Amino acid sequence: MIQTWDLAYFRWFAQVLQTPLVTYSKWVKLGIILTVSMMASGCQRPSPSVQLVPKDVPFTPQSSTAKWTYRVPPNWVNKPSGSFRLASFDIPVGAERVDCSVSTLSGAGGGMLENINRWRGQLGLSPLATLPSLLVISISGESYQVIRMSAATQNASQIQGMVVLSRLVGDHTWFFKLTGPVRSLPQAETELRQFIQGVSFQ
Amino acid sequence: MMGQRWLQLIVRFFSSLQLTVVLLISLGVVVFFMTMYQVETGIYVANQRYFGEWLIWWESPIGRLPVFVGGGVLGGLLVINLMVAHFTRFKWTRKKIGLWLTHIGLLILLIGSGITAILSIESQMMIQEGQTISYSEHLRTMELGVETDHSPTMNRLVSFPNARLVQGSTLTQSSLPFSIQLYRVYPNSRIELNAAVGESLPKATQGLGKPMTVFPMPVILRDDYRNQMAIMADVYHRGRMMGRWLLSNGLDAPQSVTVNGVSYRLFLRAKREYHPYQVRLDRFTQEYYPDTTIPKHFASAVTVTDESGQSHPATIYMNHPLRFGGNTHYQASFGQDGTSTVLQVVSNPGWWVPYVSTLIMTVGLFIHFGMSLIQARKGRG
Repeated sequence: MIQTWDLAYFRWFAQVLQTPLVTYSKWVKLGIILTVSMMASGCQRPSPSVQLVPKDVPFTPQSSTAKWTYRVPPNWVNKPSGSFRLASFDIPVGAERVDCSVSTLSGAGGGMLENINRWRGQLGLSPLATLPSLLVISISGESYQVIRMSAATQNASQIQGMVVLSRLVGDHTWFFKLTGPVRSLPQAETELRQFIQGVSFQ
Repeated sequence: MMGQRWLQLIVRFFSSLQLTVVLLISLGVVVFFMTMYQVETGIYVANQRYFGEWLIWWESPIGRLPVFVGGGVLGGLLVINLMVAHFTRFKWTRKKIGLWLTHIGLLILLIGSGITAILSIESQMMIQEGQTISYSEHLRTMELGVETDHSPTMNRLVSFPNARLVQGSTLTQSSLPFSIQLYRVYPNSRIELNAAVGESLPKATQGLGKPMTVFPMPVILRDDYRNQMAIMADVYHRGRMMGRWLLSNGLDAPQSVTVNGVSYRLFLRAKREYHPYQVRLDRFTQEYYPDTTIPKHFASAVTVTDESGQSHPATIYMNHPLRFGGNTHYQASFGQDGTSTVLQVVSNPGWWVPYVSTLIMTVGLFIHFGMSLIQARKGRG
């Protein structure tokens, strides 16, 4: 699509080429015309497109039907678990409570970066472009990746944080997630590690 | 008379063998500098700069200056030069049919590579096991989209292409009741929540970006890196500014703007190509060389569903692409989790050209050498 100013540009150059004062050779004229045409065509602005497109189908990696056995510590409180959680608990730490969830997804559960960004979103943090290097710890001789994050706010008592321990068992990834006030998380994490020691994956 | 003189001049210019030499040397120079440039930027950016535009531009301290003619133009001129020189210098005789065919095959090959460069579209489908998608994404081109509900299954999308996403420009479209002024455009950025610094940087007043600060980052040109683009977009309705939104391909969720009771979703994302079929990844399998992490074989078992609802199961693996709906789907890569695949989707209307041109050249060479052989034998006899 030729813009109005493109035409004006052409007219102006046509005038320059006609000017008797300017005594270009034919080759120079040809060169100028070619160059100006190229520049003008390169400056065209593409138009926006309008189309009907199918809606994105929300996709959640399939949840596992994996079986497991565990013992609930006496001070933990069982909570009803949602569709994606295998189990949910409240861990009391002083006067505060930390939410603990256990879930498992097939494969790597849609990718660690995607999961980290989903959890960051839950804390109101912006997503990361690349996967950061993750800490690996050992519990009962098995390796677990540890992800710790917190949402900084002005008020220290309200800082919310998250700790996730994840492990690949067979072709499924297990996630043990703690969410709660940052100052209560170290104690809750210690209890979670003891809880994991008693978990039997089948 | 004047026209004839010009025509003669043009024919003489394009049939010149000096022009051939100049063009070949120029192409050599362009390819040399492009090779040097691609060491630091990757092949895509280098190719765009040296072959993707009419002219090669230099980002000088005083502005963008053209320094040389683009490689694509040189190639095009070479094709014209070869054609004109051939038709004016070589005379048609039955003995030279082999040479003619060979030259025509070569020209078709050159023209075909031009067609491929201009018309072919390459994008990628990233699919997880169990997921079904009907679009592929461009790796480097972005789009600013405004979407509304059209029906329970369809959206109406107004897409502003990458070339329009220029700082200071205003985006309008006749069906949109508002305009979008691009207050700041950051080709690459880092976005932080509640950042302690960056008070002087512009902030969003609406949407997800309100508590976020955008820090401009230098553009990274590596082939394997995706820059995080960010735009501070001011939305105007009837001359009144409704607010400033932060749009970025780093933000997953679209943000809504409500005008006249209609909700419009705004987003910045990798440009999508929608296809009239759906691809579902049934299973992704991979094998590694023993005791290494070097993949030996990886394959995607997919089911393609066409517009009529008919299913077409297929397996895509290295050197075994799936051709469907005018596109070729190659196994390109896979996700780190082992359950997702990356398919390269290539639409190339000139895919047949290398086959046809090679066939013509082969026939031409057979005829030429065959005739020479027969003549030589006759001479001996």
